[in-house]
Amino acid sequence: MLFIKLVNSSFKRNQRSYFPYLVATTMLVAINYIFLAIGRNASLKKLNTGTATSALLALGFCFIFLITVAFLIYVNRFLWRERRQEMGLYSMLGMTRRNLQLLVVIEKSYLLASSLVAGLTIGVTFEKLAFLGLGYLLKISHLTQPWIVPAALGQTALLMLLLFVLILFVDLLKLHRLSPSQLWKPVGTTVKHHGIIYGLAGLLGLILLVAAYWIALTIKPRVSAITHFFLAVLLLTIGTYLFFIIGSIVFLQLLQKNKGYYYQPRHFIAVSGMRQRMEQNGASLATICLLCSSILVILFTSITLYAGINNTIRSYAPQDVVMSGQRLNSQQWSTIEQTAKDHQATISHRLIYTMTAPRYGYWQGDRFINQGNILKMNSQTSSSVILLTTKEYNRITNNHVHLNNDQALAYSSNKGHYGRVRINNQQYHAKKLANYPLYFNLDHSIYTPTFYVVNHLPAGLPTTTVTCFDYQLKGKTEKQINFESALQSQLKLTTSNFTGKATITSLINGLYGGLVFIGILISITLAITTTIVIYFKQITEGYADQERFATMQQVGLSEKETIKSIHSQVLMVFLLPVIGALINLCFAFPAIRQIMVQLSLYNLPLMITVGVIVTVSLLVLYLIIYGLTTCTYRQIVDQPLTGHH
Amino acid sequence: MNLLHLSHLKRTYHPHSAHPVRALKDISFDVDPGEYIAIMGESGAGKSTLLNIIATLEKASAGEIKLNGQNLSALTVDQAAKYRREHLGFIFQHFNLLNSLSNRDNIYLPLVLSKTAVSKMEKRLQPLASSLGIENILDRYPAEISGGQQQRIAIARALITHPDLLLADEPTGALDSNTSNEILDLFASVNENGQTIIMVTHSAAAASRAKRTLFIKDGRIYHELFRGDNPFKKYQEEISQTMMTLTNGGE
Repeated sequence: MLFIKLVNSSFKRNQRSYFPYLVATTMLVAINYIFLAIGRNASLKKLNTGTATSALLALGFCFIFLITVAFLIYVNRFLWRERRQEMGLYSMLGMTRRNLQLLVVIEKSYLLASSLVAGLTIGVTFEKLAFLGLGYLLKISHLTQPWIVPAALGQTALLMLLLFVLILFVDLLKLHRLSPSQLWKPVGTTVKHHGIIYGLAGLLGLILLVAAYWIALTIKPRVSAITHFFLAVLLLTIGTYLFFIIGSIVFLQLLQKNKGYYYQPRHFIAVSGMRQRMEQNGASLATICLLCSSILVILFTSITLYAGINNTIRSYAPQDVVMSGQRLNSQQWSTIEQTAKDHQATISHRLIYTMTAPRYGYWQGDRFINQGNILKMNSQTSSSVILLTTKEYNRITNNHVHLNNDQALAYSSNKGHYGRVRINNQQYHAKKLANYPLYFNLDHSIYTPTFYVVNHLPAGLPTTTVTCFDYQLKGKTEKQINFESALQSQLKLTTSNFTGKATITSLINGLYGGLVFIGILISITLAITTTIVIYFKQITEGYADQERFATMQQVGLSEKETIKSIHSQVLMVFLLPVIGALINLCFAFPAIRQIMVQLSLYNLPLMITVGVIVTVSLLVLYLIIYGLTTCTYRQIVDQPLTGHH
Repeated sequence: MNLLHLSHLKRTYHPHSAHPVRALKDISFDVDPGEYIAIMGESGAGKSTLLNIIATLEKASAGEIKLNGQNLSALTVDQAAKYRREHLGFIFQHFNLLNSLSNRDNIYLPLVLSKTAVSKMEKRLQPLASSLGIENILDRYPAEISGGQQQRIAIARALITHPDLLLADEPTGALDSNTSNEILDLFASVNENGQTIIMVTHSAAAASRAKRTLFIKDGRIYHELFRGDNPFKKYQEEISQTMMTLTNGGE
């Protein structure tokens, strides 16, 4: 059939666009399938963290599906621009609108069918691997997953079908609204004249960026930090778009007005060339910048979380079992002994001491405004304090410290309050302790406590007795978890008064491991889409530069100078987004740090190491992609220009 | 002294392949300062190759080409680019303006490349712009003006360097006949001011405005006509006749 032949030949002719497009859709189909298939895993749901992991997976899938939708619509626009002239030619040669529609339908069906077949094949192959990876991250070995999940296959196929119907509809609508001559006419590039409103919008972009950075820099570790972070992200997104699309052009216009600067051979070509490039590419560059920023932030956050799990666990459970509340009586101790015997566990390192129950509040100058226990927290809350007596401190740490009544020792894993402090109407001069081995976060709260050692506890603060011990138990983690839950239920303690290290470890591993897994998959998705966006940009640039190349040489620029000037522009255009992304990460760093602090994890060297590794890998990957796509770019530019004689 | 001297110029593409293409077989002619020469011939006769060699965009395979005593074959690629922007002006069928530059900046381009001061560029542009009638469109962009206007900008770009030689490749090929005549009038007045012009064209009407016309066939100069004191109409007929004979393969 003629139409199929035409579509085939069009695929062949435009394989430079279609091939990467198909690779990308294939990968996206595969990742969508992997998410859906893992989300349906039965053994995962049975875990004690199953609900949390499933919720994370569902959230991750939503995100990845949104990226897929946005990507398909973006690339479809690009393909449409490539093909509209072809459509125009067919139309001029006498094809009716119905014929053209049929062509579009056949083209889209081809693309859908091939990306589904290839994508699902890859998805099924790698889903098992991804699942093993997830199991590894969750530190769980007894997960099982069938080779093929038919329900996920069906769901992926259905979603992709819907997406393709959507973009098919968009194409048909475009076709309907254009006349043959409009289709045929090449899309000319003009440099637009911009008015004052344009300049104001550019300024607005800059202001939004500054506002976003300011919010990020000043985020306080409060409950509201996450809301602020999202506000900053929103401002940043709008600001980045305005800045790339408009701000850059306003800036270049200013350069053009400076005649002494502008009319230098190097600046002249670079500035005018950049201006045209920014007019055409501003939005894409902003998109690339935001995609890179997201990759950086997501990878950075999730890997830091995961790498810092041990810190978190240590602050939640300084020993294998930690109980708080009333001092245990002899009956309870014999219950513990009995349960240990039943589970073949031996108990050691018992430690019992008294301190004040953690108080929550905020600082007003040197005064701690006490709001009460963890349930009294509100948006003002910013820290918590725990006090214990010098006597207890000396006993449990084997120290012989002597303090005056107005002196205190203080320790915090985070930024604490030292010097003059006033807690419950008692004034102290607090000296910073270098180390406090028994430091821990009793409530597992987002406000890591500061410990104060004082001679006499201020009046009106309730106390709690902390009972800790370690145990040895041969066998797997499950046995330890069983022992811990048996202990908790025998002692009739609530979760807020009983912490078992094995239990909390598996819980946190499950939670953070899931986060890392999703973070990595989302980053891969973002990386694939970014690559394709860059690739298509290079192709577009290549076609535009082909003509510029020729003209500049005719006017008397040597080939070397031409290549140098154009390549430096291309490099600049492609480095801009990644530089933007790095700036974004630098500003996001304090905000992420605050969120880390909230998650009881704060380890600056670790954060910096992870940040540097993530950044360098992204840069290397970016430059590799740039190098590879530049090959295609050169192939296009080096083709002799046809149709001039 | 001759401005341009060509003797036994040859150009062969793919000389070592099984089917070498001999675009120019043997071309010799001289151009004096102030001349206005049209080069005519059928497609594939070698017109564009000849123009490209004079323009230093290509090199001859054999023979001699000298402009103002400078041997063009001896220039390296980079020297050629510099030579081009200092001594030659170009006008093309499709104008070849850079659409990223305003019209003013397009005209300035060759001067900027040779690092001319802004004040000097402005001084040079002023008389040129008024004689070409482009003062009002200088701050617009190529995509915003008509074809005839674009060609005027291109002429200004070619002339602003005060070139030894103005090379025009089908300058009216993409224009309607009224606009073509305007452009040809401009060429004539530019030539009257002493500018040497070599123009490649298909159009007998365009060629009839030149003082001398060379006809090329199969890579050789086939015939030569001088306008002398002939009226345009008669001269144009003569050119058409010659083209006809050339096409029909007669002597």
